[in-house]
Amino acid sequence: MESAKGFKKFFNEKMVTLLVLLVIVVAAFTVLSKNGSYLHPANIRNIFSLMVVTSLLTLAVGCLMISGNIDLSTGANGTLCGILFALLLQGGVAWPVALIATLLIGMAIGAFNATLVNIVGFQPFIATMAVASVAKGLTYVANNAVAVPVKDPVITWIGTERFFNNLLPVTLIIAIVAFVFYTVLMGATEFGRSVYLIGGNREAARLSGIHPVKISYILFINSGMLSALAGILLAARLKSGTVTGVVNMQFSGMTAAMLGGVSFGGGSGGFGGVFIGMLIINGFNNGLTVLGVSSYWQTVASGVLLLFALTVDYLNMKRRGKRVSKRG
Amino acid sequence: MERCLEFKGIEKAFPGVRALQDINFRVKGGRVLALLGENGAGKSTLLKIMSGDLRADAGTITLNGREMNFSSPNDAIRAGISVIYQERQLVPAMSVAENIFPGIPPRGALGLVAGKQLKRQAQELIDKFGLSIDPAAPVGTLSVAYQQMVEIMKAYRRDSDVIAFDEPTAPLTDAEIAILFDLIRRLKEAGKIILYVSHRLSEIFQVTDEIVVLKDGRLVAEMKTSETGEQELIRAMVGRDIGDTYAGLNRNDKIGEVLLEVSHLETDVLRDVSFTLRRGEIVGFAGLVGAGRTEVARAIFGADPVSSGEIKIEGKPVRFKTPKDAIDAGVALCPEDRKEQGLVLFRSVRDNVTMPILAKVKRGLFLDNHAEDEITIDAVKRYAIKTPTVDKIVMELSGGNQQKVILGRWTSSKMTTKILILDEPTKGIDVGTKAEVYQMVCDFAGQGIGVIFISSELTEVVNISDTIVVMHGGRVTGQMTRQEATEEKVLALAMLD
Amino acid sequence: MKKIISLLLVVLMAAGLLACGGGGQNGNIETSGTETQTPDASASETAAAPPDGGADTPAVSADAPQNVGYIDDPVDHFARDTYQIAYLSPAFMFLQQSWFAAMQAFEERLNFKVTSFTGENNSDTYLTNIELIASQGYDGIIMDCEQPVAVRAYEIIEETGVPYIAFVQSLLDENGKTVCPQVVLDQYDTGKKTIDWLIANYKSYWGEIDASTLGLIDCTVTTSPDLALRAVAPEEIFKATFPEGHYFMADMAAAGGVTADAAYTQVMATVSAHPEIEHWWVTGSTEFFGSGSARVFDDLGKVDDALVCVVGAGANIVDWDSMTPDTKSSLVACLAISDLLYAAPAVSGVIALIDGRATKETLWRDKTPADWQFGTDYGVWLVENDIITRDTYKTYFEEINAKYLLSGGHTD
Repeated sequence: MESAKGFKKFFNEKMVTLLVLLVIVVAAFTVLSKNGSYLHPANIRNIFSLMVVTSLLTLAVGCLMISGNIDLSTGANGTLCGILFALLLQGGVAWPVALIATLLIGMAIGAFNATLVNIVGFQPFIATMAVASVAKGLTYVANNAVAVPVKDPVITWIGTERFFNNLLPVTLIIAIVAFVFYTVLMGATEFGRSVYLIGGNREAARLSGIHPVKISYILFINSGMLSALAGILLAARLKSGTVTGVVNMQFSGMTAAMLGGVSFGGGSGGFGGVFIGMLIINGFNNGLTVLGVSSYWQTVASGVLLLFALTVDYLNMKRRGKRVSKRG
Repeated sequence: MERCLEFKGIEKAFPGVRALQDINFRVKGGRVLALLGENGAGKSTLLKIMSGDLRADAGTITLNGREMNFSSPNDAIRAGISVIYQERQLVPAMSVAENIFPGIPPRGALGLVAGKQLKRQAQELIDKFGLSIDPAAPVGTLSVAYQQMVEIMKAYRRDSDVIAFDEPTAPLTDAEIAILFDLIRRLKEAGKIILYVSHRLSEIFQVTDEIVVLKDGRLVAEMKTSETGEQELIRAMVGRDIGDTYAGLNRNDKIGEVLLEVSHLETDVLRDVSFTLRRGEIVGFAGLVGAGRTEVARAIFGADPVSSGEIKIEGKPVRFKTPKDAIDAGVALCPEDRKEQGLVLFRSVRDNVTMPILAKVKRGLFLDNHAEDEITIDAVKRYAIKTPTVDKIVMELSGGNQQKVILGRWTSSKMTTKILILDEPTKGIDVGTKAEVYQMVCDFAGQGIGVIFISSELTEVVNISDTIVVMHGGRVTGQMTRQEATEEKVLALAMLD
Repeated sequence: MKKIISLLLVVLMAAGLLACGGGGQNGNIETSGTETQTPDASASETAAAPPDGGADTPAVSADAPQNVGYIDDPVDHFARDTYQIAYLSPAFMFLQQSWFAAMQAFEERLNFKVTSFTGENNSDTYLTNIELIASQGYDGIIMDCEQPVAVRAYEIIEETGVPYIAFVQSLLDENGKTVCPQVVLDQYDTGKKTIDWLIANYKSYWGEIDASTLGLIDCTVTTSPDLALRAVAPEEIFKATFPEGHYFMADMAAAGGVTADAAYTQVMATVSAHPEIEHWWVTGSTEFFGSGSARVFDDLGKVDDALVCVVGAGANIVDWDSMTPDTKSSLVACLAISDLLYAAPAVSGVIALIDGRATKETLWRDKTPADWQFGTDYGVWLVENDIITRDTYKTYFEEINAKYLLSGGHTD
């Protein structure tokens, strides 16, 4: 009687598929690009750099999806917080205060989501979508739909500074830290395990002493906070709190999550796979840009990738579903 | 021509498991054949092959002389084979008539006409079966028993030659079971071929003509119902002499002081429920489905709100707002529906066992996987849970082993359970494992745990418990000791209004 | 089975990649109309009319080379390698595609290849692509940058050192002043031309009318400073000329953006709410607003009571093309800005910068209007534009094409 040790667990079927896919993508683009420019350090930096903001949104929604929930307000939340952050700075508020205040606003929106879902009883899909609409509207109202410049030297330093000969953006460090933190949290702590159990069978978890409602609140508030952070980091990178902000990055994040094995059904997936999923998507998009492929094809390619992710998810669920009916 | 269903040389293998080997038997029309076997013996697989859900690796199925080749369940239905599963295959929002005659939607202005016609046809069928169901009622509003009958009528209307039943009596009351058997008799008279899969031996003797026993994928016995007895069947299924299951139990007779006192408990379903539980005692809750026994369990466990009444544990009044409160106080619950409420199916044995003790298996901030493994391995050994590793997903275990996992969860080395509530612990479990569970229950009692044992199987409750509490309609209708109890007395109280 | 499907999908993607990488380098773009003909090489040297002036040009210093950065720049484009130029825009929608096609029309004549890049509506991607373009070795960049990220984009592109010009959207610093040569539209002027035309021509449709029965719906997009500017002149001039008239502003920003449907919704709502107004004018900042508004009057049966004249031609031309001479429509005129008039200076200017014959500071200085509100430190090429009507539009584009010695369908 033994238990399969970590190494074997890590390299399960799904991870191998993902890694193979990643290798194919990287190899193909390196070969096709001029002098293998795809793999130049600066371009690798480009790929990772673009993952920063999206990864925060992915972490936010990923934790929730594992618990069997969904949050469609991350994009709108982040955008609103980005613009509020810029407004606070513009109004002369010191950056640490503005930072904390904005994070609190994001968390408040998350708490509101949690209340709608847990107390009022709305479906998370609908509730968060509605909150997203409200947030979007508020974004327009916030500064009359005009972008707010960000000039605070500390914030702009965080947003634009790069170490090691222009190769390691500060924001990337922040994203990596966040990613590692949440991977460990979900994978190795009591809290993380509880989230998986709730996602797997909420009632069974409750009847074993876990508090689904409390954890739901924590996850929604966490999602709100990460969304706010994403909006803040974006504003720092752009040196501007924009009206469109992170809204468009929301679904890319969910695609990466699904590709990485986080299922809409809840209770499965790990951020290791999600990370590889993000690498594949961003590496793919970057590769197409490097090759100068027209935007039409880029949209088509992204669509194909999304279809692929959905197929992977579907096949995964079907495989488990099939096993259930076998037992009879 | 007389109908005839024949299985010849059926084989089916799954990765790592030979589910069926060389199955050969024949059933004629107008007969009811029982398909018996422990869980994992291959009954479900055989049914699935017959209904087109799976394809056999080898062998043939012949119906009325024609060889059957199904690529989908639809093919089987069209060929005249219907299976009534445990899960309902009806559309709850549509009416009874619409469910019996699917595929004939009422159309526009003509809709009314078509609807009336539908109702009339449905009513004819309902009358033929001697039932009282409103054909216009939405199927979802019917009781489970009557929903099942709608499915039977649906199969009948298809003019199926073969109708198979998979554990049909699990959710039924005795009165409803009688109606079902009557229906089956009518189907027999109509010349249909009936297959009947069930664990309940008493029913087999009531309603079947022939029996086929499967064990480990092989057909090990074939006999006429009238020529055999329970012992012989059990021996064939299990391959050993269980003897008198209950007499062989190692019981504990040391019953201590009062552990749990429930006084005038009221919830939205319960009225004035009172009883006590002592250390080392097994209190059995008997009653029909819907009597309120599960509600008592959940109220004590903090899973449902309590409107009034008092619960005292070891003399101290307690008020549990959540299951966590109850667990901390030493109360444990194995829920009625193992899969829906008890297990996280896609997680491993280990994860399911350690669910309530996550806080206790930490090293610093992180979970201690090593400690979790140790605890789980210990439970697996103690209860002889059949699983190759602790990482196996519980979904892949048999029903009996799944139940043992849940029991292991509440009695693992880090748990200090004082009161163990078991709700239908032997449901869907094969005979061999049942005996193991009975012994486990007695062992728990022997360790000083107070056990509440809820079961719908009368024999079980009467023979396991030290004290029996009978409920009906949310109230306690009677209590008695094991010595006083007979199945008749208990049944009478269970049906008492 | 599922393994086969997964494998197939992977192979499909890989094949797709190879196909894209091999042939797809923007070579497959077909847009409405423009076919490149190889111009007569000698003719191009002595080519056509010098570009129109527009506002008063400041005196050009005597030693500045003439026509540097103009389409008829007398330099030998073939005495050098083919330049790789990047065109970067926030999104690659209909307009951007048209401009891109127009740029491609000059590839053979000026010996360059242009590749399109887009931020895909994501500012983060947009900024990253600037660096990506530079690191891929492109010689010059035609940059259409959104105002919110202009400051950062400027920092980044300056650091790369690649020659560039600003295109369509002005590139301004924090104080709202230009920081590089720009090819832009005088937004205010475009709006002014439409309202001027309406005032000058309405009588030929309606005769004399009572101004109190006249309403103007001015379609603007408040979230875009450029587009909002186009709506300013109509407001000012209308209110000044017809004090008794009724002015309505319709903001498309929150109503769904720059689409014909947004205009339809807003205009329909306004017209329906004011049945007392007998005569309607519609001005607007984009071509789509014209197309959408005209539909309103079609649906309401008020075709004869409305005159629509917006800034932008494309969608309106599509509508005109589909009309027979009998079809009545309130879509009477619009301001056309030929894509060629955008593309020609853009590519010429960038090439001049790459050549080194002009620098950021010297390019097009002669073209900058002295009173340009965004500053006069850098060259500003104001894209020419004209009002076209349903009757004149066909010949207008033929003339433009002839001017640039291109034949084939009109570009709009």
